[in-house]
Amino acid sequence: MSQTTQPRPRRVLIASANPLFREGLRKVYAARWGDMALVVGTPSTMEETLTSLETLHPDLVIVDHDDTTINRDEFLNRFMEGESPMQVVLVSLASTEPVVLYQRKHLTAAQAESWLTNPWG
Amino acid sequence: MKPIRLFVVDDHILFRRGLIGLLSDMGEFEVVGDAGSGEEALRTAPKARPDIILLDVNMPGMSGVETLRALREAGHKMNALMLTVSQAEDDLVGAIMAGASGYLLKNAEPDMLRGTLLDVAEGKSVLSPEITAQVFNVMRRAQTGRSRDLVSGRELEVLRCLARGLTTSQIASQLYISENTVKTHIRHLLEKLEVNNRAEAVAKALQAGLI
Repeated sequence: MSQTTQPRPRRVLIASANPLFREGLRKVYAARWGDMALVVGTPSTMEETLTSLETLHPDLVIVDHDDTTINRDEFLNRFMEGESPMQVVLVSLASTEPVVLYQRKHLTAAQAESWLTNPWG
Repeated sequence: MKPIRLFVVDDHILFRRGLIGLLSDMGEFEVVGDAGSGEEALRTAPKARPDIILLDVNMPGMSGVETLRALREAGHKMNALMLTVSQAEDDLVGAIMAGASGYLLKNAEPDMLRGTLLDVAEGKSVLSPEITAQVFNVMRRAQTGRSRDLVSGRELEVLRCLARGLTTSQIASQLYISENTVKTHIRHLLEKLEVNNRAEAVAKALQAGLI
């Protein structure tokens, strides 16, 4: 008899100095994704956020960078230096600029060649 | 207890959805509608008959303040709470003048938002603690402006002399006017500043930033 394995829940980190945003989005994720997503942390400062990246290994990080306690450039620099294949969504509550998604993918040589041939495939 | 009916207006969909989730879980509130712009809110909010409309201030198109003004002009009397990241004085004053009952910053804790909404539903006016200082500044400046409008240029010169401790005759000689004219200016100053003597006039002028 084959055993079905549940997919690992997507680990989400919500970084914001704004409690309404943090708590609100945590509820949205819980309601929308149930067991498929797990909010592993809701850091409110840059230091907490960087520590959480290393200790909590999130798959997705949502960063509200309005508050100076979470510096967008510093965060992105750390993201670029890192290795783990996480996605980052940058949002700002202060402006209506589009939400930006950064994605770091690790590809094998064959996947890289395929991607170069058809990057949007 | 009947739930307090809320309508949420914010262009930031992630924030709006999260806020609705938070408010819906609090127990006292029922979110009867939401909108992503001021224009949409004008069309849909009145039909939803909310007790309180929560408005973001900075939105593309109609701002929250413009939306509130338009709702009031159309005769809608629901309470309004501005929920914003803006601490700009223009936004704050604009919101108050448009008839907002509250002005809360988005960095508020959920419990504070809950308490503010309950207060607003009871007809109270509420401001974020971070911005009350700005309201005081605006009031002080308005008072200074009123006093400055009342007091003439010559009277201001006399006030400055009084502040330096000059006597009537010294002021007359300093400003090249007669002592009687100095006395007339001082009498007008006491009336305009609503004070009883020269010392009080100087104190009030200093307090109001006139000199």
